[in-house]
Amino acid sequence: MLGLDILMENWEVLLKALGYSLLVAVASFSIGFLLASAATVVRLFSSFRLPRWLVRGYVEVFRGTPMMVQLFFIYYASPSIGINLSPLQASIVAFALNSAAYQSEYLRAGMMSVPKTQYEAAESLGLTKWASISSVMLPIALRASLPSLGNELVALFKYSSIASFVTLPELFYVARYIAAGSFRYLEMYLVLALIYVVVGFLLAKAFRRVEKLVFVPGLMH
Amino acid sequence: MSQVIRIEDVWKYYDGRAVVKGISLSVNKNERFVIIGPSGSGKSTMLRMMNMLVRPDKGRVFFKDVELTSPGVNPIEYRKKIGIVFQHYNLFLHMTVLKNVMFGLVKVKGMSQELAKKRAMSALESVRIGKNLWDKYPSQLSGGEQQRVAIARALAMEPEVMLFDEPTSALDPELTGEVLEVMKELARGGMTMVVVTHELGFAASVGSRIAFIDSGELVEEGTPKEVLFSPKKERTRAFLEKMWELYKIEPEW
Repeated sequence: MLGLDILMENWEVLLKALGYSLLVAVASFSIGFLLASAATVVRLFSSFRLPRWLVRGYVEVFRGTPMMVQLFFIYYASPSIGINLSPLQASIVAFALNSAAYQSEYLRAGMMSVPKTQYEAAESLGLTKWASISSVMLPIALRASLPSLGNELVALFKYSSIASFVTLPELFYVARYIAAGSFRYLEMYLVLALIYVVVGFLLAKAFRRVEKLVFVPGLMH
Repeated sequence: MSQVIRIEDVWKYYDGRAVVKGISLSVNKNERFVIIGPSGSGKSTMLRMMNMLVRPDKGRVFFKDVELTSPGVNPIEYRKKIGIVFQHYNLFLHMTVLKNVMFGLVKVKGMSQELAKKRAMSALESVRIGKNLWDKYPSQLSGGEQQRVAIARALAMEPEVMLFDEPTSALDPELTGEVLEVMKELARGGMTMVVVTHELGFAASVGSRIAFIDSGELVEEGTPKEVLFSPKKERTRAFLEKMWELYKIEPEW
């Protein structure tokens, strides 16, 4: 069958490559999520103007420049300030920084969907500002942001192909190598597309499980 | 008589417009202080100043002997002693009924889960929220049930005074009774209460003192008999006439 033999012949390399793609996606998603949470809280709740502006500037810069440029900047420019990153490290750092900008926007939208009265109720019990945010506002905002965050994870998995340009042997890099070596471009790229679709689908499915797990009746309308 | 809450010449401005204009009043222990007045008269803003959810732009707020408006005082410390019940219940949307009531006990009072659970259960029982509802989420409850859970949440903290901000205004008429009944029980138990309400029947039967507020000013204050049935000020009279008409009750004057 078309593509099946190319898969059989190269499954070991492809599996390892898939591991890299997933690693980049999941690691940068997770780090990005932590950064985004902090950024969102600062942007919406800081009493000081400067940190709010810094976060806004960060988001605008990382949303406003191509991911490829960010990755090249981090991989090729960082040695000149004494930081040497491996292709894997550079990819995770670049994608995490990029994703944090997007995720913070999703979290901001989630946060703004939470009624202010929830905050007031927490405050009125005697909770501090930080406790009100972390144990009332964030958990609700997070649930509202989950569908967008799921999207972001799948997107990161696909964009991890960009890491091939800094020589990370992830899926796209390996597929190009195999295709060029065997001249079986059609088969290889069909198989590659199929792998992205299937794994992307599974990631989305896993995320919907998380959504179900934390589902609260009546929270999302 | 010992004062629990006192506000002194408090002012609040929104967009340069004064919504509370120099109101002073004090609430004594075991008193049921009822505040009436037209919508938008500044009643809710004033009530929220009593626990500093709204910070007055001018004037002073005292909880017992402590001046909450003093720069050295952190009002957060005193909020656990001042319960508040909101018009729209404001239960935590992502928590079950039981967790809603336990939340403050664990987070603010630092109680263990078991102890908080015990306390929450007895608070819920006291507002007649049965076991079958404890694991439900707010959206699965009727308005009356949600408001009673909100009362339990405030009550569980063992506050020294409870503030009520139009607790029945968002409820369907047939559900106001169950909430008012719980409030009457609290009053009978000696709870110090400050109640903003349009329920004149409740004000007359439960209130120990009534204040009428209009356009951000305290117009008249006295016993229910004085304020509700023989008001001295024309503004009070005009407001009550309208209200009594709504209740189909003939005024005595």
